[in-house]
Amino acid sequence: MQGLMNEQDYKTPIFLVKNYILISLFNYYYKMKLQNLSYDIKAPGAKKAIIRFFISLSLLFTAWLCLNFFVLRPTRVIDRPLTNLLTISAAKCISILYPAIGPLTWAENEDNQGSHIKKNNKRLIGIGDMCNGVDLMFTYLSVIILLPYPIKRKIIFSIGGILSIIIANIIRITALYSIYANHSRFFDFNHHYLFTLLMDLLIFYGWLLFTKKKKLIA
Amino acid sequence: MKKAAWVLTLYLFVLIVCSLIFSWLHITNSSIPLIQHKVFITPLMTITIIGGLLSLRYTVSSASFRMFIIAYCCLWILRLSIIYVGNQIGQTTIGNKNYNVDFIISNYYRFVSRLDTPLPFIIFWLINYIFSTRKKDTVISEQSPL
Repeated sequence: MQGLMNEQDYKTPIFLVKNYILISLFNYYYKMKLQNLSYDIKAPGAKKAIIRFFISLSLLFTAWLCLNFFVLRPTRVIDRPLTNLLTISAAKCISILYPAIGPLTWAENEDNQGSHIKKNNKRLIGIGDMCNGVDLMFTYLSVIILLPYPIKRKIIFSIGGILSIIIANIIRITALYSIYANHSRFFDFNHHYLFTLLMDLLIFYGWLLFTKKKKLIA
Repeated sequence: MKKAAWVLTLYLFVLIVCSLIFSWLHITNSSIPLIQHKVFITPLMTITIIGGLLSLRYTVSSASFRMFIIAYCCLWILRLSIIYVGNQIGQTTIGNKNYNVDFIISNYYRFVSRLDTPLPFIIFWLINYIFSTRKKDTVISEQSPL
């Protein structure tokens, strides 16, 4: 009968190639179809997981608020060493970048709310506790803690992320000093908007790296 | 993921460019105060929210987007209500100490919740992507016939 193949035909290279292409196309189509489905929040489990995540995040933020305002801020357990570290490092960076400025020193504020860089006992730039990036670190860490990834990866990215935020903050303070010294009218805006956005960009890439090519714990 | 990451990166760069333009044109001072100067609506905040919504529209499914809009609006309403209530309470005494509730609440929203920054959009996209991918991995391994 015409149209039916003999046993020999199954072994021909043309049949094998044709079959391979058909299987590949079908596989590709199936994967694409599933991929489209996967981004639908209506898929069972996804919606619940997302809602659970955001509820946990809100609870964590509220706990952080209470801890921060009633314990950490008044005692300055985290703020004092962090703000001082930023002040010392920024003073060193400014000295390297602007050698003509001469030797810089630093001191804690009298109101106990931060530190400042000094030159010949004259205040150059102040770093308040509100600007030391603790809140940003906490936002970054909260997402990492709550995501279901291996603990080893979480620890590595937590330490790496915190170090990156501290380094970025030192660069930010140095750049802000530079703006203040050369274009003081742009200082406030850069302080409140531009550098905040750059820090957001940094933690966004931190999260992207954290979630890249790594399977979740079921 | 690559495409979505690029969309969000572009969104952040647009915000950076806008902030520079606003700074250059001195548009930043024109902010609208709400609840006795506790909340400000700035021009950049408007662009942050509109841009964030647009970028999410292109990176998540319509069901996810709808869910985000509802949650985001609720959070804004909650934020304004809590700040209003905190402002009404003002100072309160717990034990022997005085606490400025209005100050604590407005600071919380300024530094912790960050509703007026690009972070809510980024976090939502990330979480939606991660949990959808987990779903995808499971479905592909369970259902693929070939």
